[in-house]
Amino acid sequence: MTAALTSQLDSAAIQANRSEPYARHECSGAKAVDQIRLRLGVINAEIECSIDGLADEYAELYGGYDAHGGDAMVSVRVGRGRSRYTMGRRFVVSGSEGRMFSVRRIEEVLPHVEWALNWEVVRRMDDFLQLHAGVMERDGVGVVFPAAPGSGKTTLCAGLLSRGWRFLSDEFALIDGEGMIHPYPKALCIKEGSFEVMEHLGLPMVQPRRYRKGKKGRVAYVNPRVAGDDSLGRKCRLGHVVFPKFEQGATPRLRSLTRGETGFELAQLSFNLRKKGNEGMTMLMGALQGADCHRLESGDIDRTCDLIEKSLLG
Amino acid sequence: MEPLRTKPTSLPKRREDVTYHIIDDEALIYDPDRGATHRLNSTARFIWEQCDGISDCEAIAQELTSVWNATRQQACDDVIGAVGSMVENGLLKVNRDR
Repeated sequence: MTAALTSQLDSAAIQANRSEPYARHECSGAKAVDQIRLRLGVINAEIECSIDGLADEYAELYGGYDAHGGDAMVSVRVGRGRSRYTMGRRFVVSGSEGRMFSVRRIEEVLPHVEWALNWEVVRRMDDFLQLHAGVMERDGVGVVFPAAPGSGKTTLCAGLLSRGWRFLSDEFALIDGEGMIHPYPKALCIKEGSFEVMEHLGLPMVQPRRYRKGKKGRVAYVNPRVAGDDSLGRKCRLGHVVFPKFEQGATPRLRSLTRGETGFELAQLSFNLRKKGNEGMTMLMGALQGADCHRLESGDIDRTCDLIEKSLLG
Repeated sequence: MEPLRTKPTSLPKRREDVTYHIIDDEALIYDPDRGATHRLNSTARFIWEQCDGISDCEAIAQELTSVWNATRQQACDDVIGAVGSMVENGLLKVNRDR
């Protein structure tokens, strides 16, 4: 008999044609402004940009997605500006609280717009408890893959996507007060080290080796619609929580976790638990009721996906 | 004022403004002031539930021996250790002895 207490402190617009995702507004004497309106699952996102070509890149990245017809929940602006420090020319990405990123090279723009959209979701979508996690769905049951960056959750989501699972997100689990998970199916952001895996999975990347994203270096994107017309997931209940950790050459292994351990670890991976306080904890506990919880040591993508399908789908 | 050292005669009392969630045989406590989450295993959960400010550590240890197969000394050491840890993490107050 040992009493154990595990504790951890948190260390840690302009109007557009509503039926078209991509609209251009020409104003005499001013730079044309593209307005991109995307329905990203439960999030209505808007990007206003005055940089040539970015709207075309977005059209490729989110081909097959619908435009949203309501008000934008998150919006990001991107245009040209100056560095605050050197006064050099920059591409400036701004959100609801002003400037978020300024980058020098055009190939850094789209990844930082994508990143800014995520930050705006963190800032503004407080109806949901937000967890840093990939989310996939099969037969109406959601599987959440919570993990810190670099744990392989995006690659894992891509692997399951290529096998007919439906994609909800590779970054966010958005949980409501009923314990349901909502989709936010942004394009998957693939680091250079996983480009070969995407080729192996048969998932075409948008402009591989073009984009750069800060410390991640070269990245590419996968539009999840390339896996089929039915590849985007809908709101679903949480059936399984799987904490992935990629180890090169490891034999894939799953081991069970208690829901207590799982809830504790999920609390550390929430973007807004501190903001939501007790209500957020209650939402987390509600979602965990009835969920099976595991830790996954992942390795080769095919063997890892085989293990997940065999263990979770039966 | 320096916090009192936990003793068998200490009277630990749970904080009422934290949220306490039972999940299977464990529990999670969320402390909104510190933004901290704590996990209690089944024994720590039992001890927490006894910390009513009326029972001292010795009495809680006695209760523990009636539920778990442990000697009174083991139980007393365990209660004092767990209470001390919970006090350190701001979940309990021990402001007087019996």
